[in-house]
Amino acid sequence: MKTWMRFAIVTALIAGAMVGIATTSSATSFPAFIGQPQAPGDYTCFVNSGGAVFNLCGVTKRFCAALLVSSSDHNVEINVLAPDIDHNVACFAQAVTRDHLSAGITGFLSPGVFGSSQMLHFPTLSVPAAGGLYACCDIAPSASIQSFNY
Amino acid sequence: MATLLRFGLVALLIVAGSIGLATTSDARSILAFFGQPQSPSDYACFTNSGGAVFNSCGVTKRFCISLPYAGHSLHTVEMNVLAPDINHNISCFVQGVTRDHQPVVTSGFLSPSSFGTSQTLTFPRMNLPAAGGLYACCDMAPSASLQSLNW
Repeated sequence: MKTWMRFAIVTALIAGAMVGIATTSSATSFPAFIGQPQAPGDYTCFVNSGGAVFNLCGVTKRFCAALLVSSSDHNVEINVLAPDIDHNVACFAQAVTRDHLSAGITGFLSPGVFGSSQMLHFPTLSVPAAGGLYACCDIAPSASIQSFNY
Repeated sequence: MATLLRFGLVALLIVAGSIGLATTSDARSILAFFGQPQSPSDYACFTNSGGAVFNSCGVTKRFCISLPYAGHSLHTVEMNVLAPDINHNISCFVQGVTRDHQPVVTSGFLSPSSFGTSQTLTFPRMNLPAAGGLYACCDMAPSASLQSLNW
């Protein structure tokens, strides 16, 4: 009986470890270039540099990315670079149902430090089953967004 | 010892079962804005609204989306679409291809049977090859929209 129990405990631990490994590897990340401009006329404003996207136009433009999801709760993080306070970036994220109803939206966040890459941390969004997640950033001329992690 | 072997076998089956479950429960979803127009000259026709994509041009246009998947796997693609009325409809299909661009499986076209509200189009289950590709396209009439994809 003791052998039985030892075997059962070891088996449970192995199975638990496997589930743990599967669960902790679920964060997804993408370079910003997976996105597209909100306005179709703005494709020529955004330049890809190693996956980061810069606004080369003379005015602030919006860039959005649909984010592939396979689970519910997500803390979206966006790395951005605003060269100075007059060339800033402001981003938000939203979860929606599969039929296009809002399931949660964050406020806008901007970096508090300029001239170096900063990470914007958004509150948890719960994506309903088969629903969607996206983020948009209003990017000033010469500012950039670099990556998404969620 | 025989009992121990039986227990070991059951434990292995449970573990194998849980691995199988992890593979088949790996559903993914993405908003339509992940895709692009089939024709490079049609970018100005598609408008993003909260991740849903509308055809804002005056004629039917095709919009396509690549759908990432991992390994040799089975997927049932579902798309949520909204056709405002029967004269402004939407028609979609799905195709699986090998890594070297040979079609493996193609669905027929599906359209919603109700208008004015979001409808889910459910495509037949597809057996997709490892390292291959999956994509979907929709022919969207003016003012019709594609909202989300789940597979």
